Amino acid sequence: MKRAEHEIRSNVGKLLKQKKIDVFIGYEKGTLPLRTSPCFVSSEKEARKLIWNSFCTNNLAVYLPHIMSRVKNKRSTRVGIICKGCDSRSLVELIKEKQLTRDQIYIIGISCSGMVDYKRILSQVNSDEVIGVDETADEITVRSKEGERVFSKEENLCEPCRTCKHAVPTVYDMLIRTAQQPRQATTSDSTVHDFLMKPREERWQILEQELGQCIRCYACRNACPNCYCKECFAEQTKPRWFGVTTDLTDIIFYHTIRIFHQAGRCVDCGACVRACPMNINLRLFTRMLVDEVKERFGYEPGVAPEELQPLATYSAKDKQDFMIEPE
Amino acid sequence: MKNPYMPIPVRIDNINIENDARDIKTFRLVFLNKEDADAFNFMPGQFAELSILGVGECPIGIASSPTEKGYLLFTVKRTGVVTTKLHHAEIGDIIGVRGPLGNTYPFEKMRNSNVLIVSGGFAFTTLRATVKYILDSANRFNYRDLTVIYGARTPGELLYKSELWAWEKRNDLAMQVTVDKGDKSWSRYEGFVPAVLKKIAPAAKQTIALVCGPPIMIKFTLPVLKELGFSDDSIFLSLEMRMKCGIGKCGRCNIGHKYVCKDGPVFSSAELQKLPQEY
Amino acid sequence: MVKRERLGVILSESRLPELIASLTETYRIFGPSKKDDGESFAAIHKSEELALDYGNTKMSPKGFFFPQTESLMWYDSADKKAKQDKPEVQPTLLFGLRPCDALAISYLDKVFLSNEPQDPYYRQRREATKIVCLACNSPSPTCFCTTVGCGPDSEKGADIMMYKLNDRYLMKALTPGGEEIFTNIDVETEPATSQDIVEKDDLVNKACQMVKRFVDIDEFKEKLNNFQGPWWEKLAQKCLGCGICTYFCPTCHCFDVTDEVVKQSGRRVRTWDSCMYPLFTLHASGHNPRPGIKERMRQRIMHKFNYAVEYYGETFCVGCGRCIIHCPVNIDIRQIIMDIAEER
Repeated sequence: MKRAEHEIRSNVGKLLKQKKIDVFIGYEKGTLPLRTSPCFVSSEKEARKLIWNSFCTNNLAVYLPHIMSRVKNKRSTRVGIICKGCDSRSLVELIKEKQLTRDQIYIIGISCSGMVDYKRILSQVNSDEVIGVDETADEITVRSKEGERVFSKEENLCEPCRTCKHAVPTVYDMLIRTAQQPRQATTSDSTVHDFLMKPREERWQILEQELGQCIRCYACRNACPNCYCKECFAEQTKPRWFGVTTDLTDIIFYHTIRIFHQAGRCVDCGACVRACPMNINLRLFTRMLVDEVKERFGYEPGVAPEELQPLATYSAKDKQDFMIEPE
Repeated sequence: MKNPYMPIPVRIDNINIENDARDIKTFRLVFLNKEDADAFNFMPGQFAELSILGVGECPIGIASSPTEKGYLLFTVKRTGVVTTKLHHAEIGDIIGVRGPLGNTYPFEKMRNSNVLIVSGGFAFTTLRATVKYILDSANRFNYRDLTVIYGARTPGELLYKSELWAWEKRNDLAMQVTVDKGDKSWSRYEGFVPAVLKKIAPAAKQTIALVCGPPIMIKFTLPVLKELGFSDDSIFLSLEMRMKCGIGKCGRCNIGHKYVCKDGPVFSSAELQKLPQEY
Repeated sequence: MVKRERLGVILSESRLPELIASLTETYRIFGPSKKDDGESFAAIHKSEELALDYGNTKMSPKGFFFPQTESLMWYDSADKKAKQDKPEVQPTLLFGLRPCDALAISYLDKVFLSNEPQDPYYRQRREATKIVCLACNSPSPTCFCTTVGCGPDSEKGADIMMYKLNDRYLMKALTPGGEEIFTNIDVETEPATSQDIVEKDDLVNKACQMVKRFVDIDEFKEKLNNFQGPWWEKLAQKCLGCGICTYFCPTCHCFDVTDEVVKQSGRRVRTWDSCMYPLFTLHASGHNPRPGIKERMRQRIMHKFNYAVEYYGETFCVGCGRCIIHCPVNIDIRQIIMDIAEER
């Protein structure tokens, strides 16, 4: 970790000094224990505040469409960014959707050994008492007034990392390897399968329970690199598609439509889930689309830059069984 | 206790299409209940929320003067959801009005002074109310010279045309109507409002200027007024903002620490200079 | 009935069940209760449901008076007349509220009640509710109340103030409403002694020391007079523009009013809104006075620390730290305050 961090700093410093990039998006130390915060550095000196550890969870690709829509000189501006496997896949999709071009970005890829879910660890300690955190290859040590507690990373991984099969970025200009092996999942995600095995009433109950907590803060949308619409259907007034209340019908409408907009684009980075202050398991729904798209079109978003998005292209081989013949 | 969110029921009594583009209409509204009519005390400059149940509300300046008894006038441009619905309304339809809201033009300050009105396009509404109010025989002697400069892009975009031509003929106000570009039959001024203002050059001494128009007109009018010697506390502007509650609570129409709905919509140029340029 | 005592009364912790039982005869009680992801306010029927040994609740209690979704009126198109929706109110007690949240409610009172015309919906709920505040003995690391004019024993907004002294509660009625609560309960108490007050002061002092005062707030506020300050661009860079900070904030009170129709009838409904959302200030013409995240973040900070001070004479931040805890990119309002204060 320390070595990777050092490599990031020196390489970013060099890139900025040589004016190969104008700004670099990375992570800095957070103000709270077990947290990091995205940061924008534009000088060699500033590059020293960049860090790398198992809490660098934010998908930084989320910032790019916004930055690219604002830069005055699109040709000459180049943005550097650090990418884990999932983040790089988001970038690939953004490039396919013409939100940016490959030459506008300089990607420092990092082979990822899985991110640790800080909320999970905090729920096991008295979060008010935490003084410091240390990290080794496999363990997180949390120091508090009550003493030290050691947590296994593997047991406290972020949910999507458990079944991630793309720990090494799919695109990069430079790859940094950490001391650990990239984490290659051997199991598949069973979230959807488990859900579908339940009886219908129970499924509805789960849906109600999960989404019923939503406060419509739109953090799931705003943390998602795919959600770059200038005006989101959820807030549009001309026309207003549905209500802005926290009644279950409005909430379900919002999440259903937002998640359907992710079909064939969602890379399962889990940014929406981590951003959600109510801890709603949105992956239950996004995963279903990921699986569906893979099964129908054999497509995995963000893996192959040259592959066309299935819902943005036509193929005679596309399955048509979703069309229901009138009886 | 009175509920400030409840609309007062009114009937659409008349609808007048104001412009060639047919996207501006003046609605004459009559209160269904006499006590509501009696309680609705306002002065020019104030606005009200027009309320259509099932659609929503929109803030619109009151275009009639309190001296016009028995009805309210609202001139509405078709822009958003509510105004579009309103444009589809017919005579006899029942809608709601919530108000009067906001402050008024500075009638106390205008007393015994000259009044200069500078306006452009669709923003003339509350200033039309002001002209009407001052011209009323019960009020006219409280004010000295009244000068009105009003312009629109084309002759067909001028509001209240028949009234304008009637005012032109009167000798108790100086009325100057201008258009950016005239047509064959146009025989009056041609040119932008600030240019006409510069040409007419009304005296700044003891004069209060009321300005309302599109941002571009305001931008070029203020320097002309300054040149003519108007001080910032003798120039008053009426502002627009997206609003919901109209009573200073919902939090969206503020410019700095002022709520346009409650502390405005009329501000002096001096007041505005102390506020952030965020409107 | 609890007799009025000059220094307050002492209630033994073992009598808490009696106190709650007695209160439930007159009031609906809401208090902090343990949930999977921290404490939240819940209906309390007996004292075991209370979790008084807590930092603060996840969501602020503002929703009790200003619910996220609230019907203002309903109508059906047959008679085209709007009928007012009246909130159902019954005597309610918020029990064990933190001082910062009580202070925040006093600010909301200014918005909805002091600032004419009054808001009838807010008023009905507020008038039916009394607040029993519990002073903080061990503030959280994200607390910064003392920097913004609040504190672990701040009394404003509370009807009764409670202090936990070892195995006893020191209780003091601060308002006529608080006295009324005392007259409505039947539980054994003792008059507080000056020794109890010394013990309380000691605890408050300790708590105050635990809350870091990290900056000179006046210096920060002074800097805010420069609306065009160069710092906003950089501070807003990492903001995602979601509404978490405003929805979790106990003083944020912006709302939207929309109409809903189902067939022939419908309602006009008020919902929370956020100055962080792009459509918040979007005119029908397409013009937006606050077009970017920079302008919207500036509005949020300025509203709390500058505009509200001018308008209501109060800083609309109580230092509860909820926005810090829940921000998905760890934007820390303390850091913002420091960065601006220290900008040369």
